[in-house]
Amino acid sequence: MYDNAPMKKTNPSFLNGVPELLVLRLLARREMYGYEIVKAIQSETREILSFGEGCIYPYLHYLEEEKLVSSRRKEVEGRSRNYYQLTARGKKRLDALTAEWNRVSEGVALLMGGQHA
Amino acid sequence: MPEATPIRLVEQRLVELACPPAILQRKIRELAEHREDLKREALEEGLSEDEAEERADKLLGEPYALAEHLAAALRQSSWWGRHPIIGFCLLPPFIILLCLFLGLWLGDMITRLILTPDQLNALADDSAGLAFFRLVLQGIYYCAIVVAAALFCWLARRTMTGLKWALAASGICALHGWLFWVQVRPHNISAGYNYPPRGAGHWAAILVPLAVVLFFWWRKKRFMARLGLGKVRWKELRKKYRNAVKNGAAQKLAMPKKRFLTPTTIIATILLLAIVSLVWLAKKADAEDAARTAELHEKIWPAERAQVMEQIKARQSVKETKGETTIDLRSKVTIPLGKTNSLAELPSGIHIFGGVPFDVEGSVQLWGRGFADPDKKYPDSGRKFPERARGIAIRRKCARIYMLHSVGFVKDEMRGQTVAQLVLHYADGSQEILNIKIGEQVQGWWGPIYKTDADPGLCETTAPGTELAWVGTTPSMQERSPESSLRLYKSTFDNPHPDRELLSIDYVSTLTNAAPFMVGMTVE
Repeated sequence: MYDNAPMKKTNPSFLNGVPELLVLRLLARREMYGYEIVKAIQSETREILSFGEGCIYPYLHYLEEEKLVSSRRKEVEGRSRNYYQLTARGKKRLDALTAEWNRVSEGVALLMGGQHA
Repeated sequence: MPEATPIRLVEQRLVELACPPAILQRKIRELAEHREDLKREALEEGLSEDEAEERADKLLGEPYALAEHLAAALRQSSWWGRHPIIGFCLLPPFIILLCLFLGLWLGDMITRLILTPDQLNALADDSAGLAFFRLVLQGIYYCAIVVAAALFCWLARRTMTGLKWALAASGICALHGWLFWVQVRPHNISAGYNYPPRGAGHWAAILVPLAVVLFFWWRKKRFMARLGLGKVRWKELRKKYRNAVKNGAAQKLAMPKKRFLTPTTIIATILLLAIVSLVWLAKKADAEDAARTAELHEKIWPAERAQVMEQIKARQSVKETKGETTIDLRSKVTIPLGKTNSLAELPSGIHIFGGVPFDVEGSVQLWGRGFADPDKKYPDSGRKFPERARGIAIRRKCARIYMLHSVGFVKDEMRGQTVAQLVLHYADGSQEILNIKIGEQVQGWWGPIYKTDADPGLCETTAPGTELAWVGTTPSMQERSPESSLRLYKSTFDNPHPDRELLSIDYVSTLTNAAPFMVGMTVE
């Protein structure tokens, strides 16, 4: 039953905090709704990273409370949904998270490369 | 859509976690829409309706975990949710005090708009007015408790920290109400904490915050009933979820870490530190005051009293007048010397006071409004005394008139006020009036005879020839106000017409609150 963890159990625990980066990154491109974000993460990471479907909402609501994203009700193709978009504050946060991620991944890549050499 | 069972379970759990209706509605709608998308996707893949629903429910997640994650997200995004111990256990007493202070300030502003300072003073001196002030103060205090308890219940609901933290905050408010006291005295409001608690009124202060949390609980139950939500065995679901977390089958929601030093934390810390510092400073000032008071009571005042009594005694041993006549006041006496009244220590017969002999047989007590005290706090309260003592016989020429006298029911603001008069009747039919004023010829019957830390307005006399001539005490004074003494003053009045025969003198009260009295009169 419990295969709907915030990130699936195949994702190592050091990836905690990555959902924020992924969500902000996706919303930086265009406004999206919850289902769309989950599917985008699955498809763009070729299902290496995956959210439990329902667990996207706690993140989105948290980001909204922190004023990193904002939401609005919008009707598309006859269906009304809550669309989320990045705020100016969210943009700053994304820049900071991206820089931090690049720094960490570069360090990890260097180490991994060194091991192979 | 929201009728589907898993979504309904999420809704029920969120309501039980006291999720505000507006937030609840939005969360449930989003989940229902997501489920609908998942179902459509499954149907497009060729699954049957039932299979599509089953898959959508499975993918959406375990309702208990989902509700907990949604609640955790809201909790984590608020300072109150992240620091419930500081927020719900430490801050309530300060918020009550803040509300009480604001209520008092508002009450003061409104009273000043309606009443003039004189009316306000009169109301503070009146027992009915005082009872009204007490009622208003109690009202403000209970309002402060209700506002504080309701604020914390609302915060617990708004941040989904749960009823337990609302209950904790209300419990702290009740504890505060149990130990806290506030009281009104004339021109003074005092407050503090006491253990064990004083008075019986604290039970209401304990019950009021608990009633507030009960009201919030009842509202939640009513809301659940309105939504038609039944009883769910959450205990089993919780156990299942915890086991799943333990086994690694599920993860607790990991929200981005927040810094501890957020602006709210800094403000709360500053507030706490400021209040702790204020309490510490108040305690320190209290300790210093207590030490100073002890020093005054044990060393300084007894020494000063002994010195004054020595001076009075010295003045009682030497007669300074020549050719004087003591006036017999026996026919005018309204309170005779007695063992049970406040004149018990005063010696009867002719004795020297302030260098002048007086024939003392009792007190010529005149009326003052202070006797009309409805609370009957004083031994002679309610007794009716004459407004004037007419025709005190003199029948001779004299240059000076001496009085041994005092005045009861004196208040601070009466300084300079004429409380009695001597009306001099001459043989040629003319008359003169001599005024007796507080702070000039006389001071209050009860008062200090020491100087250190004493209000000069309550013990100094400025008229030439006036001096403190006798001091005494009574057992009840020793008990109620041991630092005070009974005081009699000798006053000297120059006769405006020493060449005319003075037939008689009337001793007249001006009918203020003060009640003048005389125990001796001598002419020279």
